[in-house]
Amino acid sequence: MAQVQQRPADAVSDEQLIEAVARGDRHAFETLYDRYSPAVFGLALKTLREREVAEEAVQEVFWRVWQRAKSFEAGRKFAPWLFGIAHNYCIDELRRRRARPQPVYEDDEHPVLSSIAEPSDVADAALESEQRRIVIGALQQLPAEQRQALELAYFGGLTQQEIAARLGNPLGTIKTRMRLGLQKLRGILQGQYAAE
Amino acid sequence: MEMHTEHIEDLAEGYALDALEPGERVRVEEHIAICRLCKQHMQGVHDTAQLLAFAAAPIAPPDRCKLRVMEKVAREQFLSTPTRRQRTGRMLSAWATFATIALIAMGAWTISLQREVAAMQDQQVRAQGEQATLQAQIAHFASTETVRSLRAEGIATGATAKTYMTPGKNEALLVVRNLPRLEPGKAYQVWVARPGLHQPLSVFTANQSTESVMLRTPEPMDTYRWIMVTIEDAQGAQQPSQETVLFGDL
Ligand SMILES: [Zn+2]
Repeated sequence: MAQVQQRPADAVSDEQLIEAVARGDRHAFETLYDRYSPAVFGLALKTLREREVAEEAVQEVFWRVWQRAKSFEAGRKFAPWLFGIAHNYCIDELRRRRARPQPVYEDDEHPVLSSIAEPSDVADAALESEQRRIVIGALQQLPAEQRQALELAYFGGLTQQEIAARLGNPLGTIKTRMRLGLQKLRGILQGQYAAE
Repeated sequence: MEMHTEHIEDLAEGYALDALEPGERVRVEEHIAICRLCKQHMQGVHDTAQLLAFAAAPIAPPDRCKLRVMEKVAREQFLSTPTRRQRTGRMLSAWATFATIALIAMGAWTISLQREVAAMQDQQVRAQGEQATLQAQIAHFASTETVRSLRAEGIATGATAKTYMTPGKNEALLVVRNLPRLEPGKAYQVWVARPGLHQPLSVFTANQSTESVMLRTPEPMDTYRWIMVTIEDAQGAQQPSQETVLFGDL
């Protein structure tokens, strides 16, 4: 009969799990899905803004995780690798859709900036993670214009040039804000994780 | 390290956020393919940038997403793993073909139960092991959520078959039409399967143009991936023969 073996999922790190997935372990894959599908769905909803499209995104992203598990490099962290796949898919999809005549991501009533820094808007409270709390906290420490540049790019799918045009700033200014923003974020996060 | 391209630190943030123009992106990719220093730097920036994903409110996707992904994974694994080929090699490769065809065909079936009932109303239908009309069975399965078609192959070409099931329940109804009669001593047998498991179910003969077969499964129907009908000796078998006549996804 079936070969299901429940393991104490939380005892195993993401990185151990993805290495098991690379060896064809479907239960490890399922555990990673359970851990991360809400974050991926949240990201997809925030960028793509349509439930059906976001559901597609979740399926495609985890399918890619399954297919690419063998290329996961030992020593790296799983979450950014996964989000890289997810973000790449969502932004490609967003740009593809934007190329057709459709309402674009941003609108004046719901500017990107104000919609992002609220940790609790529609999140399932049970899914709030420590990682999320730390990242939200770090983002809030950034100067507003740095955060704005990062968010317009990451969730809005805008290029640096588009952001510069949108905000009426020189391209170099936008690049600098992104660099400083990410540097500062990295510094804060390293401090936070080190303190864990 | 490479002499004739510049390092690309100034493009790292834009690349990590996927916010470069296409030409710039190509430049980065060409460079990190040959410059370990920049690749390393890029990975650090990328890993920080991707943590922005946590800023999106986490929301559980509907269960169907998981079911679809897990099914796709199970199918891919099943079709690509040579496990058990020793014993049922030809069977498995036949399954691969069937599964592919069935996948393409899925979603094309929209005929409602009601139409099914109407079409069969005048027909005498015999249930497996008991006298019950198809109408009664259909009534029992009136709340089924899922109808799955099976593909007919081999001597059954021209037959049609559907499974009525409700996820979570250990029973289903298989309705088949126009299966050919078998030689004496032979019978049709229903199986449900998932990678590594063939679960033998009911054995039946096709004496009517329409047969309905009640299926009772040890585990809920939606824990299986495929359903199939094979030709076996009249008493049934524990492992399926290679004569598959109907095959479908669950
Ligand atoms: Zn370099």
